[in-house]
Amino acid sequence: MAGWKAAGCLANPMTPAAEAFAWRLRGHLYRRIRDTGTVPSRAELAAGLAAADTEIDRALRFLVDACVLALDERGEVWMAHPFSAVPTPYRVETPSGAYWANCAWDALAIPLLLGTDGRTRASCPQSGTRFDLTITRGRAGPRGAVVRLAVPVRDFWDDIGFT
Amino acid sequence: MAFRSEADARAWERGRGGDPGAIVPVEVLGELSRDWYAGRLDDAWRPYSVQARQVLLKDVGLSGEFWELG
Repeated sequence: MAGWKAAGCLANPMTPAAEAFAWRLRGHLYRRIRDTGTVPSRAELAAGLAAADTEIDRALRFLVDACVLALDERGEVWMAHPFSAVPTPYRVETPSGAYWANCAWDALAIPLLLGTDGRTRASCPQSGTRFDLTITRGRAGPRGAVVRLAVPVRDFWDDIGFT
Repeated sequence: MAFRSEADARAWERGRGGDPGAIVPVEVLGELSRDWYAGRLDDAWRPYSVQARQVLLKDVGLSGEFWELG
């Protein structure tokens, strides 16, 4: 078993069954977020997947090491990009529900991931102008708006809370 | 952070000093996001390789040191 390596992130090898469970947990997690608008707790993941706490722990650790998820200090899922478990300045409203995004980029990504239109209220840090970041029929707007990224992409996972 | 215009973003950077970031039109980030996040609702999703992500960035015109993954 070679483990999982992508984008500079390396997860330790696990048995094929354990790795398959980790990927299944990830898919379950994302669909729960889609359906409920909230990020499930470890206990909810264990219940939803009929799995033991130790299986959940091992799978989450694998996904963190693979740079797929970020956990908070309690070991609960904090970021499942583009979704955030905690409130942020980016509240994405869609016809099927509302979601917290980690950043402005993720605010655009959530409606695209869900295949829906979406709107996120924003306020320009320079001018104070209020505007909506939008996805309408797959296209981002408003025309002329920009997103500033502070950290080069290769360094995103050095401090994933600050990009 | 989202700005209403590139001019606003540039002015904000000038006012703060420090390293310049990357300023990207929302249309470009939308185009990138469509592929970057595709399939994440499925169990079969796996992370893209570094090379594949680099191609996605290049395909929407994001190149240069800021956008180099490797």
